[in-house]
Amino acid sequence: MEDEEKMELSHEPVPGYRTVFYIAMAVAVAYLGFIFIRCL
Amino acid sequence: MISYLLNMGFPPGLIFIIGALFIPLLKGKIKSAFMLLLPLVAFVILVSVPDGSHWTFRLLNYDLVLGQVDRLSRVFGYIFILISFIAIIFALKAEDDLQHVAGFIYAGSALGVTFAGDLFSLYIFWEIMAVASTFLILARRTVASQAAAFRYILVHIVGGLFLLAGIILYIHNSGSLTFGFIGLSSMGSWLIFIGIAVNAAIPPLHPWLKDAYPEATATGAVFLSAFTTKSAVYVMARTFPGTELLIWLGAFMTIIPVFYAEIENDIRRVLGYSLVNQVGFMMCGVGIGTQLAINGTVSHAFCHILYKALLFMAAGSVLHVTGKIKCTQIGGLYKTMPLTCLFCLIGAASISAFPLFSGFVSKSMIISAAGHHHLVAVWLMLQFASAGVIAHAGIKVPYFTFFGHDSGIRAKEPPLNMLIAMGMAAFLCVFLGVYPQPLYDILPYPVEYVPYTGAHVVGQLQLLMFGILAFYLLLRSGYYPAEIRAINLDTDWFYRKGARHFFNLTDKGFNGINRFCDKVLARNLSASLGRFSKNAPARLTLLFIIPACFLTGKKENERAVLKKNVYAAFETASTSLGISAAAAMLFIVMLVLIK
Repeated sequence: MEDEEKMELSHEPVPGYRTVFYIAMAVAVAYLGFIFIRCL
Repeated sequence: MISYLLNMGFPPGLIFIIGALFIPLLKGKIKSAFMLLLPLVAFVILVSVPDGSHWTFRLLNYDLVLGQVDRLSRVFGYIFILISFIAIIFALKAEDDLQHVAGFIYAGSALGVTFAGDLFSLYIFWEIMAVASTFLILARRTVASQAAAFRYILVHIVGGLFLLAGIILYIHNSGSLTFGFIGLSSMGSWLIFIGIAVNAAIPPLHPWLKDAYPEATATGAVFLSAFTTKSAVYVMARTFPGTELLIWLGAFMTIIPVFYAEIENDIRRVLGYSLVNQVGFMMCGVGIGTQLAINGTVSHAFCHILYKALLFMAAGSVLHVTGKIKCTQIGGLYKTMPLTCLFCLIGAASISAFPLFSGFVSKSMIISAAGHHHLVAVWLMLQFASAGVIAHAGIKVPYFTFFGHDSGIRAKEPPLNMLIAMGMAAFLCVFLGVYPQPLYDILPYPVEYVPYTGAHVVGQLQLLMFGILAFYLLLRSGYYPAEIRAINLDTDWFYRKGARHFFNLTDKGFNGINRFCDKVLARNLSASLGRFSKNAPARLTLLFIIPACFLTGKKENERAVLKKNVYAAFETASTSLGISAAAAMLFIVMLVLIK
């Protein structure tokens, strides 16, 4: 149970997830780029 | 009875409005039964009445039509009556006649707008709708709700005036009172367009929605989510189909709220932004204007009314049992409110357009229409907005309400009537998603669209999965924006902050000029003129007499006596005739010179 009525509900990073986030972003951008290039 | 009501000229809207007036007179189960009976009677009338113009009467040489029934108005009529029935079940235990009466009049006027056959009737019901909905916000009886209601009615009065001015100009130019296709062609049509755009919450005219709806009562927000914007969608579909401007306004309308919703702390405000986003899809469909797009718009309005009402009912239930609805206040409620959580998840899945849920079979029609029309940029914008919907309405709303951090609140499920209402809406969301044919059968144009193709399902699932992955990774990596207990201003900055600055500027500017004029002109100048005018004739006379005294060699004491006598003579108005004549002559000369 946490404190009621927080002033701010922040989301602390979990170790390792930032790396996963960047990798996923890179894969997503590459995937989208691939789709767009194929459409041209 | 139905045939009697038909013959007596009772359109569905008036059934609601007149019925609302009897609600305060009834009590207990009779009141509940009466409230549930009204939408059933309205529904039977709508089913019974054939297409065409009904309930017409003549006023001031104009033919007013209260029943323009065709496939377009009929489908909106069905959903308005259906959602009224569900909302009334949800509100059944609320012991507040103000909410019941306002809700019925509001729903009735929305039906009045839907079946209006002339612009005059449309305007009358449009304004009743604005006033009645304001009372649903006021009914919460808080300082914030009063302020929000005041801002809400101000915006809608301005919108209504645009509509009225447009209608007058349009009738003057065209000579037609018919409520049908108008198109953007003249000043009158532009004013009508702006008037409708205010109710449709088209940016930058949208912030009234996210400002007012979250301040309404738990049941009031359910009514509000259904009628104002969707009646505007209907009016837009009837008056401005195929207007290219609407494609772009709609496309931007889908995207802009996504960003604001992500940083919003109040769950019902998130849903308010989500509502703007969804209406954007409909506006885009109206703008494209093809049969597929109009069918998509109408079916999406139908489905959206159901799942948005479901989401507002889930949020309203949480508010009802906990008194709280902000992300910073709630969380972890799934443990003690599993049914409400389940219904919220069904609403979230529907708005996110998961396959087998209602949003999938309607939204995809609009996006496909954009694709068929080769509107690549618009298609991409709509896809981006769809991913945004998943992030805020699809995941954020249920996650921060029922999961997320444990707020420690152990609230029970809401009363049975609320659960039944949510259950009905949830069932319809799933039913239409699994078997959309009954909905497709009542759309304005024949439907050849097949939602469940491999490409549609796989494409949508990719979008959904990447959306969920993005939310999860943003949250776990700490990049997800924090929910802060604050008011996020949108374009309402212009009237909530900008108007205050404008007031201060005009207060200091114009009132400063006023104070300066009061001090210099009203007080000092008038006093000086008063003093001058009191002695002016004597002084002017002395101007001539004193040089004459010098010339005649009069002494100083004689001159002083003479001065005193002249002042006394003017004060007592006892000047000699010669002096009076000289003063009069001087006055005339001065007048001539001034001229």
